[in-house]
Amino acid sequence: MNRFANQQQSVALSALALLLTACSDGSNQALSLPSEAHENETLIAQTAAADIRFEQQAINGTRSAQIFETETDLLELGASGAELSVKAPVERKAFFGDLHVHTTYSFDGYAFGTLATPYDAYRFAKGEAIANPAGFNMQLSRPLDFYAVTDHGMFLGLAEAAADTSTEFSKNAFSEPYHGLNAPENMGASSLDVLNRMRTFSSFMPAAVSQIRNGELDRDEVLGVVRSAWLDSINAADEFYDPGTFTTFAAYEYTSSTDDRGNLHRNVVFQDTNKLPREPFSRLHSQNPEDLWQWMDDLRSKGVESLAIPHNSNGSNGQMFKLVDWAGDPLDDDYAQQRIRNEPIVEITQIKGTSETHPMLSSKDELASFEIMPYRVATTALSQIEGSYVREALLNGLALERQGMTNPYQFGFIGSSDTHTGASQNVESKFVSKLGLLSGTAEQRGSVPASGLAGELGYQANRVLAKFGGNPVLRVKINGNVYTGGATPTFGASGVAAAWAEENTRESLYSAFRRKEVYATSGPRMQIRLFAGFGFDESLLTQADGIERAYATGVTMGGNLGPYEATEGEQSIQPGFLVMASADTQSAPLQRLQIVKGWVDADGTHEEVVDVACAGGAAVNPKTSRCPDNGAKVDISDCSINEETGAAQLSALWRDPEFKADQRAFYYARAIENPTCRWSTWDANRAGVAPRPDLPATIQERAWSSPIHYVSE
Amino acid sequence: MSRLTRLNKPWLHFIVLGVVLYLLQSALFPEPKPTVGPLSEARIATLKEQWRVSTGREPTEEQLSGFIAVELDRDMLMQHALDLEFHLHDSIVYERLIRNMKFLQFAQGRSDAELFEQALEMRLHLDDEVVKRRLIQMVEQRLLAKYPPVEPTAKDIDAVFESRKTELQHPPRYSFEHVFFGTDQASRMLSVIAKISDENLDIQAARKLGAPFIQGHRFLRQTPEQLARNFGRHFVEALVEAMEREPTKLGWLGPMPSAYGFHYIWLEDFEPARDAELPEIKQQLLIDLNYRAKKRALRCAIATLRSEYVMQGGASNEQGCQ
Repeated sequence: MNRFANQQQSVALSALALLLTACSDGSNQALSLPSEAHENETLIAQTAAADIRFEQQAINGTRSAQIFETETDLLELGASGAELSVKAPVERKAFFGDLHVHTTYSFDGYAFGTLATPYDAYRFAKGEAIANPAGFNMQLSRPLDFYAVTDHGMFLGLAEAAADTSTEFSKNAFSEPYHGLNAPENMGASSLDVLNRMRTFSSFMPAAVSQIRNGELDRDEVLGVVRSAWLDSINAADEFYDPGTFTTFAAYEYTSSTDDRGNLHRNVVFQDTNKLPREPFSRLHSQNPEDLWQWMDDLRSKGVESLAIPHNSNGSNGQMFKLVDWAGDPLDDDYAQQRIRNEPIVEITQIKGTSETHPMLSSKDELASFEIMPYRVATTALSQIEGSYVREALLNGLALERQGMTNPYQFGFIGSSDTHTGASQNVESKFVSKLGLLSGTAEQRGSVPASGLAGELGYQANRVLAKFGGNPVLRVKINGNVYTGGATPTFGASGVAAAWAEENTRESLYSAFRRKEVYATSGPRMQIRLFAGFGFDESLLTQADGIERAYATGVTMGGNLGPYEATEGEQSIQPGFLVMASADTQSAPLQRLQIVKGWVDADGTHEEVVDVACAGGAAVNPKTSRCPDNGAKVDISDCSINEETGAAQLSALWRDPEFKADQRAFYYARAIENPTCRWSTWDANRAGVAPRPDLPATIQERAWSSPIHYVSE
Repeated sequence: MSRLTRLNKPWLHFIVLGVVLYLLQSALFPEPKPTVGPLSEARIATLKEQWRVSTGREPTEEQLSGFIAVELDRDMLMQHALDLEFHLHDSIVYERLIRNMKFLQFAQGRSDAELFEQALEMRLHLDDEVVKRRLIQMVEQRLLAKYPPVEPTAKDIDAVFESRKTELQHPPRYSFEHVFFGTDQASRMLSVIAKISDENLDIQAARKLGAPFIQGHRFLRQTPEQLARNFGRHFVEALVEAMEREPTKLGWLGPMPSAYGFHYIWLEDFEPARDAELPEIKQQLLIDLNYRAKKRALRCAIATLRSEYVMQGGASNEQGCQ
């Protein structure tokens, strides 16, 4: 009854809004491509308004509150998991996983209607179907090898405990608005239900912080909930750890940001569960990531090994890879050593966009505009480009090294999903995004025109509200059709973490993370290898022991290649780069293999992308360093592809014609698939409408190896 | 005599007659049951719209009657909560309504009790999402306390274990090494295989005659599903077929085609598929059974509650109340 009344009110509001705007101009408000968002006037104005708002909120202080004391008390849990029954690893194999998964214990996941527990998340990763909050099932077509639930450490489990009326915590006044929020009867997915839901949860964080501060909410009671949820998350990881078959990690997300919403999020992954902290270190302990690293160092001295994985640097507003520390001072060796000790790898791709590089940073890389999400995380304010992308950070790291400093940005790459439903989302044809009830339909995802209240009425109401400080980009009109605006349509069906490891165990996989023998993919389970060495020759490509010899005589991804040690009278020689990739048997064939090189000299930093192997045996054009068009096509009407083009495997031994023995450089490999339909095109086809014109209809899925650094001295 | 005299009092006759008339009236003209529904056309249109937005298609007649039945049940539970006056005695409802009144800026100079009274007069409790959820939840909890779910018995566990045996089976596992030939090496492959056979080469020596394979050369205790990830479905089909022909055969097999080329296999070990044992999965089965029992108990309790109301405008929602 009250739902109907709400809807009547909203219809009335929307009708009023429609009348108010009837006389205003009806010009379209199409977004440019996400990669060109920084030239869009509406977005630039919206960003300026958001900056003012963030500044005001920073003065209020609830987002930067330190309300918990740092502690390193340990849980002594003892060894977990059975021993491997077969122990004869001889080769490193590619294992695929996701190190970024949220469940019902994340306050925002709960707000999105997620009921999946860490146990459900692990069941999903092992191949079982679990429910999306919007009412349908999600299931992988093949299980993953490893998985880590990384719920937000900040208020871990608190929303779930507040809503569950059987808990002690739910009996306080703070909890009452959330009671039973995710009970089956309250899981409506209509626009109004979603608005109601988000209205209810919008005050969760600030209310919790201010009530803890003024003593209305008991600090120890909150910590009790957090510790209990953390312990349950660890228990789930241990319960599902099946050495040799399926690996789990105790992990959580440190969810900090600068006051202007520059994203500083990191996932903290622990090597094992023998000894773990009693509670996760969150932004409520400190907003400053340097304090997180110190906490990790302190734990390490007590025998607790962990690493932090930054993500969504694209939404950091230039903060993730800036060249000053938290206090604004220039980076120094202590900072760099502590950072790289704790952050050996970064998440280069995930649902909220890919952070490899940006067209404005890499103008000569025609594949640089891949799945760009141009906003600061959880806002519609544009994110500053400089300081936000991984390739630029690698280059700046080289420049710092040239100045004689430790390189804080010498990291490896992984991908992961950042799903908030417990279920990885990295297949274009099955993508339902990450926001549960907020992205359960194609209309909500912005891939098909909105209808009903979310359509024309919503658009006009949004325009009116924008004149009074509302957000103008939540609804956009393109060619007469209204679509969901904001960040959601720019999300990608990405990504996957892959590790070259001897066996599927915590010990072996964690070692791979540490030595950076890891790579990222945008979803498909491609395999990619990269080695560098001075003694490499063409026989590595043809002889069965090529990979073994490459390991024995060179370095692999994530490693450092030192200068050639010439014997007396011998001239220095060029290194060779062995690159190999294989296609995912359930995805499109490969189109080409590339090497991305970055280097530094007296003029500054430079980058170059060269194709090194082409499908169909075609030769790379020596003038353009590009493969010829291989004729790969996608039929947009049904997303079929011509599978006879492309390659199942590609490999090359490449030598850098510009190699200089005294010049620092990095090299990483990129394997590019033939084009396929983007998730938004799949959505449009299912709905029987044309793909949204301002989004790419197709994409080229890819894998990125971790870089090899050439260290000249 | 004296007793009859004592009964011959007009006031007593009046009382007895009154009671008889009251009972007669109750029997002949019972108190009408409260009515729930029917849903308005606009509300039904909203239900249709929600479905269309969620799925991109119109609901069938059957689906629509299901949605209507669920909505009527929600209205009934809300009505039941109001009849039982849950809204007058719940601290959450109390605080929520006071908060709403403060938000509406009606709080000046009034005590919380006054604000609560006024909120009820304004019927705010009927129009608040959280209050409605809370009240429905309270009714559901009450129903579950009155009609508790049946605990799964050992027999139930055995039955579900039996029915899910195939689903819960442990897959077969293969351990092998292989000699790899790319798609452009098909002609060379046959002579290499002949050489391996003629010279009785072991796998270490034989492997050197093939090409490098990015996924590696040794695979231990791999399930068909795991193998499919590295080699593709065709490879697994060929391997399974070979093992079905000769289940006990170890040693050389193939060549097997894959998505990448051909593989001449040295099968070291094969573990056939086996059924899961009950202790391995008992906990998982118990969780599933308890969940289903709770849902079923609630459905049946709601069905029972319906008999206290007149449900108009929809078929009753009695699915699965067994």
